[in-house]
Amino acid sequence: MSKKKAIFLKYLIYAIIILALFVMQNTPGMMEIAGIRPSFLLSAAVLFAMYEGEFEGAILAMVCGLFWDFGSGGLTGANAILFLILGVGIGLLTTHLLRRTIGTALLCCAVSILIQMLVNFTFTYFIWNQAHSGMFLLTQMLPAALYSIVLSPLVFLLIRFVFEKFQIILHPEEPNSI
Amino acid sequence: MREFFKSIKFKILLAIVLVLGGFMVYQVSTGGATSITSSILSFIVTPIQSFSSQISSSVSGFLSNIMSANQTAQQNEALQSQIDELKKQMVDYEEILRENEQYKEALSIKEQNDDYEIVPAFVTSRDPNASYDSFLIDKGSLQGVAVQDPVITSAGLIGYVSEVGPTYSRVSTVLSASTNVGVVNYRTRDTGTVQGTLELSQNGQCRLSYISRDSEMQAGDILITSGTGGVYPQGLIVGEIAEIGLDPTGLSKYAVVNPVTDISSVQDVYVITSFLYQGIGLESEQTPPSSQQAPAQDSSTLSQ
Repeated sequence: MSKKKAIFLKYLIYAIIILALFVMQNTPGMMEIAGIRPSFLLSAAVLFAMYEGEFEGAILAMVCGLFWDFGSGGLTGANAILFLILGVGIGLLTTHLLRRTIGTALLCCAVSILIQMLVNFTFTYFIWNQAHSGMFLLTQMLPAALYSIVLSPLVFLLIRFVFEKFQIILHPEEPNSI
Repeated sequence: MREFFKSIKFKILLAIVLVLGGFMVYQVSTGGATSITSSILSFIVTPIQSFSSQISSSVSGFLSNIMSANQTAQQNEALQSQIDELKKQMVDYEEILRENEQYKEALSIKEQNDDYEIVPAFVTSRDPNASYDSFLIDKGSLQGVAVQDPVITSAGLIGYVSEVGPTYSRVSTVLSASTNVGVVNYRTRDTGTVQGTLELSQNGQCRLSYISRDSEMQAGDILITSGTGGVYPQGLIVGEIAEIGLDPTGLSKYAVVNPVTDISSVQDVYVITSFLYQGIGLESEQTPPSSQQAPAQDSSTLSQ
């Protein structure tokens, strides 16, 4: 398989993964526990950034964010920008400071999910001074965020698997490099 | 790291952020109009999401059914017991309604006949192999019912008590061959004896015998009890003459009688446990029953 084909195929698989995660995240009743549904797109965005670096990873994270915006019915671009910024940050951290382990992946996912939750809460509820927003944060958003953090290792395993498969083809001499 | 922020890649990302920011500003300025990115995404995603929703709905419905099977079973059990309770209440209601009707009728009979002591009863059993000549009622000696007590409905005479137990009684109807009822033709005042025959009982009819050849009885005449035998009170309607015929001997006539009510379907009856002149003339005309079973022979009319 040529490199060009491999790169095309890799991004096609990434696109399919994003689409599948979006569908899982937004399908009513899927993986729902006590009315709480997990989100996968932010974990995917973080892990793309970890494996693909601060540029490609950030672009993929932005695509995840666009899907999130579309699914949530909010302002299109808001989460895309946030995910892109998180993608750049995590990509740079992984390139220069962190190792790509399940521990760091879980940590990055947790921090990102909590940041996104707080940003989302702030701009959607808090600044508009909506009634019972604090209760909503504690009973809905926080459990959903924790549920998403718990499931993020599954996304990590999936993306790592795809990345490593193609890394052998694209960079056989240095399979762990970005 | 610094090189990245000076690189073209960072500028591209910055441009993307600006474009996205522009989309956001456009969306806000147009009051939430759908952006082009949303339109593109919806074109890709909506059919897939619709499909996945259907699958998810089916799967979650299936899982929900399994998860809630125990709860559903408990609900089902509770509802079933509610249904049973309501059915029981319905039966009780019907029973009370029937009793109410029965008491009304009993009261009406009592008002018309001050001397009657009446026990309302319900037909509990009919032998499907027997003809319509007897049935069981739910009242017995504990309620004061005795052998040879007349059994009536609000329409008239049905029969008499031929057997008594503590809580039940057997009633032999006017269709039974064991029943002899002295009657009077209400119009002509001719007397006779109504008795059941096997043949006529199949049609729910009985026979009036020993009618004088000169009698002017005719179809449609009403027969009432003569009361002279002491078994049945006077004036109870026994039935209506359906047809008149000549005995084979040629010495007398007979009549086919339709009882006052359809005995095959009667459900509520009244046992007259006491009435004026009860038993008078009986001892002289009839052997008292040696056991709890006895035929009612109101044969005093025969001697008239």
